[in-house]
Amino acid sequence: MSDEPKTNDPNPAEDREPSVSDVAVPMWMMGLLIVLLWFGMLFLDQRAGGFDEQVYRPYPSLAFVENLSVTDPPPIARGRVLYNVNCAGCHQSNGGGVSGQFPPLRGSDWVTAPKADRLVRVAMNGLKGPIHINGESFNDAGTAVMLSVGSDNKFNAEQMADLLSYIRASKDIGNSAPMVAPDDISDAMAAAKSRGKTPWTEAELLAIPVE
Amino acid sequence: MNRGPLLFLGAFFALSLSWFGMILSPQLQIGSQNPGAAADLGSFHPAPRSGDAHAGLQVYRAAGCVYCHSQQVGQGGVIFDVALTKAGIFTDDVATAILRVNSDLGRAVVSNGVGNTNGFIFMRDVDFQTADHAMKRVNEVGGNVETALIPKPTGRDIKLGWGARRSVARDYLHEYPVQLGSQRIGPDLTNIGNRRPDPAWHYRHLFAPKSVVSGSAMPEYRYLFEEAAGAEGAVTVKVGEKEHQVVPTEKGRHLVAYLLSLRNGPRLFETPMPKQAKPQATIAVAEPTGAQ
Repeated sequence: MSDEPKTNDPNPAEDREPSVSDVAVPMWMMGLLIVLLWFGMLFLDQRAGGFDEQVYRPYPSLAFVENLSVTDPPPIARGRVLYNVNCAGCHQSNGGGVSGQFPPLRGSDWVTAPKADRLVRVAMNGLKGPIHINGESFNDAGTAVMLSVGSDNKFNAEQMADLLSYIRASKDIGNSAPMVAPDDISDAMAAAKSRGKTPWTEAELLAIPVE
Repeated sequence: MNRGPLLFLGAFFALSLSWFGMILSPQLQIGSQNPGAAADLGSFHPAPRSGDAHAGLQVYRAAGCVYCHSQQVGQGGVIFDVALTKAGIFTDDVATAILRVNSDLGRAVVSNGVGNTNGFIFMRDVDFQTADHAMKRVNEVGGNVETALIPKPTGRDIKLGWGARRSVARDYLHEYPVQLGSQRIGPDLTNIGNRRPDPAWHYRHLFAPKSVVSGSAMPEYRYLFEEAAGAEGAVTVKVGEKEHQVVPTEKGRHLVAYLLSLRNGPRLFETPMPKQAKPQATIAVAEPTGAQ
């Protein structure tokens, strides 16, 4: 390869590779960028509603929206009554349970699973034996039994949906899983009704898909 | 090119910043929304669509409706009513407090309203500061008095009856692809199912828009119909002097089912509004002529 420059090139300057030289960014420009960034942050902080999915213009914050939407959806309101009568004695009114004895509903992977098929069966027929919730083991000795609260046709599908919606989606319990519609659980209700008062075990329930 | 890697990193950084800002963060923010409970109805929103309506979205898309019709209701702001929901035990003091914050009301009206157990709206159409101040004034009387703020969405679109509230992300969960639209050569269709609930009207309108809306700029979609005089379920459309008996094709039925499924949804958590507010069923007043 020859290093000879091409003599017939009309514009020899274009042969050179463009190169970047070392020139420092002027300080005033850095200052300007920092000031712009600061104003941008301020703007977002004041107007973005905390980037919450439930805050829309013209409302400034989630707390403001919550303050205006004081009423619960009817399934939640009805479910609260059912829960406080039937469940709160053991699981506590805030769904926190009692450590090592009564499992919590708040944040429990059993409660917030995509489908409520296992929950329906537990509420209808009860549960016995050890159970693992979010990796923590409850009732190792296997002595405690959750009684069948929904058998004897005490709950119909609507009431069961209200109750499960309450434990899955209410602020009192602190879960935010989707609510449950009566139609979604009709199959599970039928299956649970035919089982009567025989409590489930963890292994049996795990065989039921909830995805 | 003596600084190739540096330039590459600069371009990469700039592009990935926009990816974080415009794709990842919206996905994290609203990407996992579910059909949620509507605040009033105990139903789910958005409601599931029928198969016809589902297929109609593709007809809507193919016909290019989105070029002239938007599906997004804007909300200019919010104004408030203030209601007395419980007068408590010091009814006279409550009445005095109400008169002090809103002297336009007569004493007779106030004492009558305080006795009304269904709630008494003592202030209408005020901004948040005024409403909040009035509530505090009345609440400080004590004795189990209870007041409530009633937020009312305002804005041009809402005034035109195009919806009772603004559109939010959850409204579009069943739309794929979302037909937001950016032109309003025709009216917004977010609430067309409530505004025009009659399928026959839609058939006439699609076959010959000018037969039902004078001065309409909409093209005729006659390929969605077959002429069939005397057929069962035929719709009579009068174009000029001539009467057509038309039956919609499958696509025509799908499109109208889709249009009827478009309803500005009920009250959601994120869109506070009065309980009784319903999107208007008709648009007799608000349509500007020639814009249909």
